[in-house]
Amino acid sequence: MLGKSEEKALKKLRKELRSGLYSFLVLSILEKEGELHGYAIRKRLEELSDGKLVPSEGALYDILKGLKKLGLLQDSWAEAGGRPRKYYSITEIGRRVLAQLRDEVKVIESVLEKLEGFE
Amino acid sequence: MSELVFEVFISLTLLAAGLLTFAFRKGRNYFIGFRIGYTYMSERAWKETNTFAGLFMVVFSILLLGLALAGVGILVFTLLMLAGVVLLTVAGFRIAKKAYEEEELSIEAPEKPSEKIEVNVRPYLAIQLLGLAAYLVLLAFLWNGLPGRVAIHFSASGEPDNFASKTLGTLLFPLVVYPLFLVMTYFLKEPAFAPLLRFSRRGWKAFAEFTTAMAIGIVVIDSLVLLYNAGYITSGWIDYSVWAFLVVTFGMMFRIFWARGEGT
Repeated sequence: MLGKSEEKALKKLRKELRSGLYSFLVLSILEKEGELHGYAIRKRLEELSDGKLVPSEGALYDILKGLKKLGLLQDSWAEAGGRPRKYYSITEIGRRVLAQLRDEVKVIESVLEKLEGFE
Repeated sequence: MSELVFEVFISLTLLAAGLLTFAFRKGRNYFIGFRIGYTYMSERAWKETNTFAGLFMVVFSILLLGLALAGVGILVFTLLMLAGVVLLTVAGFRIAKKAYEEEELSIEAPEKPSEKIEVNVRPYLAIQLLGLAAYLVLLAFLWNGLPGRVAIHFSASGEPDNFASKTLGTLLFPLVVYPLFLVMTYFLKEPAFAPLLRFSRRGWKAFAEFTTAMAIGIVVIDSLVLLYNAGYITSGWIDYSVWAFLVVTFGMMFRIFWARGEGT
């Protein structure tokens, strides 16, 4: 069991760690699968992480909005079941930025592997 | 009616509207509340938007009542009231849209979109802006020939029955009314503005053509009023143009309802 202050610190660091990671994962999913509905993006994250990395609706909304503002993804509406539904797709800039981020992630992976080697 | 009575009446009406909006915030209905596409389509959007709108109107109406009792002039009061209404509309729209889009992420949807309908309102906006520009150019040409007080309203028999100063009479109406059509056309891009039209290609086009025809019709009527005030035509021209405008308006309204039932 963690103490109250430890729990608070963990919550804060987890939030910081995940916010960038979610953006990276959302872009990766959209690059791989093409245009998707927000619900499907959330579902993919759930499937890929066995339910461990699932952003809340509010968090995913902010991530998608932030990525759109940066020009990394675009959205469009389509009708389904009598309701307007919003679909997202990655832009060319998004693909280029994602490629750069992949290099960063490789560096992080390599650092983590080395750190594990020290243990 | 004195200014004070008018200001107190407006404040109390707004207060009553705010209390009713707050009271009906939990259930969607067609009569009371912040009613736009997003709030009609989502219980959550309805609740969040109407909670905000109800509270905002109550607080704002009390502020207006205080200002009215403190003796604020009618012009300042009216401008503040309009600013409040615009703020309420913009903030309410944003809250409704955010609530709807957040809810979207938790409701199962087909992974890939079905047929999409692209709404391109740019040509309609361009035509409306050109109409406004044409009116302003005509006004500039006729300005020196216009009298100090101009006719702004005509009786059924075609005789002028209301007048205003040159600046107010020639600029106020176009600058207040034209943006309304521009805004209505622009918001067709939003699925929430008129969802039933938005998802029918014929529907949204009929609506955009309707707002554009209205805007151009008003440009024509206002231009004829300018020409009348400058002494180039008789008031009979305005009479005929208003009748023609009404016929076109009803025809296009019928067309929207017809197009709505046609689907894509």
